[in-house]
Amino acid sequence: MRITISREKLQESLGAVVSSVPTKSTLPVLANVLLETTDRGLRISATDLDIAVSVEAPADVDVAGTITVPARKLHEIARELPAAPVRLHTVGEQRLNVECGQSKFRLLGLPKDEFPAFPPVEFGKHTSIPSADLHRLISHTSFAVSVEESRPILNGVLWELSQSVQRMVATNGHRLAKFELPLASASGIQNEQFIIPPKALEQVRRLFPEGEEVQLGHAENHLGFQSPVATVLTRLIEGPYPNYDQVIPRDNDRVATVNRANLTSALRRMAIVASDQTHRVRLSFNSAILRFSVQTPDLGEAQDEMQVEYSGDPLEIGFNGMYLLETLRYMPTDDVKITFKNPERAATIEPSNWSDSAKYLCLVMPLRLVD
Amino acid sequence: MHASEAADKWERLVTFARRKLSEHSFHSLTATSTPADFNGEVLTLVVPDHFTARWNEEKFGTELASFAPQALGHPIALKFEVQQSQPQRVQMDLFVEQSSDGARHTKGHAIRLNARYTFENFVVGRSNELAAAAASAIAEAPGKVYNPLFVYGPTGLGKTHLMHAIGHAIFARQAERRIRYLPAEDFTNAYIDAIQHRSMQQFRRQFRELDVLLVDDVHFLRGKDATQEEFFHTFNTLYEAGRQIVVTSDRAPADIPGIEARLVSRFQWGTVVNIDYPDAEHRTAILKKKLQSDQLAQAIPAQVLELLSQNSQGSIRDLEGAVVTLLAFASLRKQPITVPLAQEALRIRGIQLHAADDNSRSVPARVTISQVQATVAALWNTTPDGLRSKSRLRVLTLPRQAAMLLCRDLIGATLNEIGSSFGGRDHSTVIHSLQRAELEASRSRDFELKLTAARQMLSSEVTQTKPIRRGD
Repeated sequence: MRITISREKLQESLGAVVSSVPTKSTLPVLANVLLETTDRGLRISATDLDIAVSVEAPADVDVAGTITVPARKLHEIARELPAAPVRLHTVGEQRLNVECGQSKFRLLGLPKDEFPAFPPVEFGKHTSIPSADLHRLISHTSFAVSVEESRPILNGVLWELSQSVQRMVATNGHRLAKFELPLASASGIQNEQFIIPPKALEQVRRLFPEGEEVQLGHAENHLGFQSPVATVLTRLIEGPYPNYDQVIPRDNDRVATVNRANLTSALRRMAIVASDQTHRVRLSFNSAILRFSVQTPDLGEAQDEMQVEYSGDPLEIGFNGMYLLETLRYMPTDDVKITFKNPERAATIEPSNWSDSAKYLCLVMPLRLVD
Repeated sequence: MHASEAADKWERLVTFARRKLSEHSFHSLTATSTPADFNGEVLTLVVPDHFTARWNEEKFGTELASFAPQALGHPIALKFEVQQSQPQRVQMDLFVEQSSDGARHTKGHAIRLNARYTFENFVVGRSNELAAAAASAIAEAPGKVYNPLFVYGPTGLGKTHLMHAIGHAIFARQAERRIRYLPAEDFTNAYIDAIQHRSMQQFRRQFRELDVLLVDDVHFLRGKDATQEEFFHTFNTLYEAGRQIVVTSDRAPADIPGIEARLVSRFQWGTVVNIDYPDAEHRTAILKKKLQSDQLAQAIPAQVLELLSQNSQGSIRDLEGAVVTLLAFASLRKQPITVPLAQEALRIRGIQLHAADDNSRSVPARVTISQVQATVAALWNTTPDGLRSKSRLRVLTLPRQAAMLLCRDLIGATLNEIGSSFGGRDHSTVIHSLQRAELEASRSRDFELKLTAARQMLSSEVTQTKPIRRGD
């Protein structure tokens, strides 16, 4: 392999893939990036076996070839090089020379055969989806996934595609976020359902800037996203996803409309004194007043109150303040509508007065007020 | 007070057990069990989960109880119970039911048990008491007694009902037990499916990790050799793990055609019980129970019930059919339910009514009551009319009692049928007469000889016609 590439392009492309290089791995080759020449230039790939990411950068190819080299070292080198064209050429199977101006590096790598191959995913058969839609879906839901290992299925984001609607759902059992968008009718997608690791969605969000069309590809238990420059392949989590629709309350009859900014600041104040374990905040709704209170043994107490619109019988309910704050952060409107049934049923949080083709709904399960 | 007493008994028992059990066993027992209650006979121990409960009970239950006379001076029983009051978690969960009721409901539904088929709705009579007793023993202690249980009998007599009842009862007691009820045909289909979709592994896991397997109508496996082989292995796995298996069929294990001998012998390992046709009283009881549960008890008068139960010979389904026909008939005609209406409805169902002088039963090729009467009358030098008369002269009562006995023994006629065929006598009179006849047969050589002669004459009449066997 013998190529010439601009320092900026090299650094940018390495930066794009290096975050998917695992920090610790039993397989040494996973700490490397795979460099391959293509028709258009240089392709750089990295994988942690669950997710594979590759980007293509324009480069002048003199001699085609392939090699793997330590990802982080090459990235650091690219960052520190002067602003001049970078020449990469391989010596044998395991050595890469990097030259830029007067700087010269010789990196020891591993043969390309050791780099794990991902199952082939066929693109094109499926539809493309505007990356802006993906961004909206991901950013409004993926925060809610579970990080515990007890229910692995909840460690993924559910992506449902029907003929006219696409929907992402994430939950950790204590709170749930559901975001729904209309799907272009020409999609050709028929009722697909994927459970995707949030790390993969994070890569999708990073590698496909808004305004692109992202191709979808699906192989047995892998899903691929592709733009002209970048590809993200991910292993899917095997289902079935719990029946989230069943837990969405339909008969909540206590309704509050609350200013999002005011509620957020009040909760942040309460959170300072709330217990580190439970983050419990007590909310009492009574006509137009919402009172907050926190009592933490060994630490102290705090109270606050604010004006709200509230209809329904007075209500005392406990929540993990962090769950409420996270949910509020992604709410797109100034006011939010919160509904309750009783202190033991899920509360719903949704945008109020939102004129958008999307639908957004979050659930938060209460905390028991008495231990 | 019970708790402290329980702690004391437990302390003394384990001190004794320490010398008898291995170090490892002793620790696993004492680390998991906490004494909770003692009621004078039973010492209840609380354990953290169902697995431990079963493990401790199987491994130590009997042995510990056997130490009691020495350790405590009196025998006690031990019971391992799962800790009920688990501390409630503060954070409520969307997917964990707050009340256990909802979860139970869905699971009970999932094992596909018919809610009506419970032990409470099962009417026990002479023809099914053994089967019912075995079933309730299984429900008490699945896998411990009567394993496997093989219930056979003609269709429509309650085999499936008993199976569902076992499932319900076990589920009500231990909802976490993995119970599966399915007809043998579904087993076959699931097996074929597994082959087709190459999901054998899953299929095996699905069946071999059950606690209770209830397979209905196992004779459907006839001739399906591969399915039989799979069933055989499933059976063995479950049996060896001490899981309960209940199987029903329309005939005894050895009589099922096209079933491999090794499977037959597995069926015979446990208990084989038969359910037979119910007698008339039993039929009436079943009818009453059914009408009660359908809230129809008021609508049908007692005489009509009796008529129905006397005139449907066969299965309980037949009986239920008769009721449905009668109800439809009454509502179409807009008439109250009376004996004449019921008679008409039954005729429509193609059932030949037998009145006192008609004597024919709907089961063909059998000795009839009138044949018995004629034979007996000839042997005792009297007339059939005399036997049917109200007269209580000794020359008539003796042959009449003999004839009644023969009607019961040879025809299997019900007490009511016998009564009505012998001058409209009450069933209690018939019982008395039968007792007298038996007594007389043991006492009088002459009576016994005549009785034997009558039996021979009547049974030779039967062999001339086609012999029938129930359940064919």
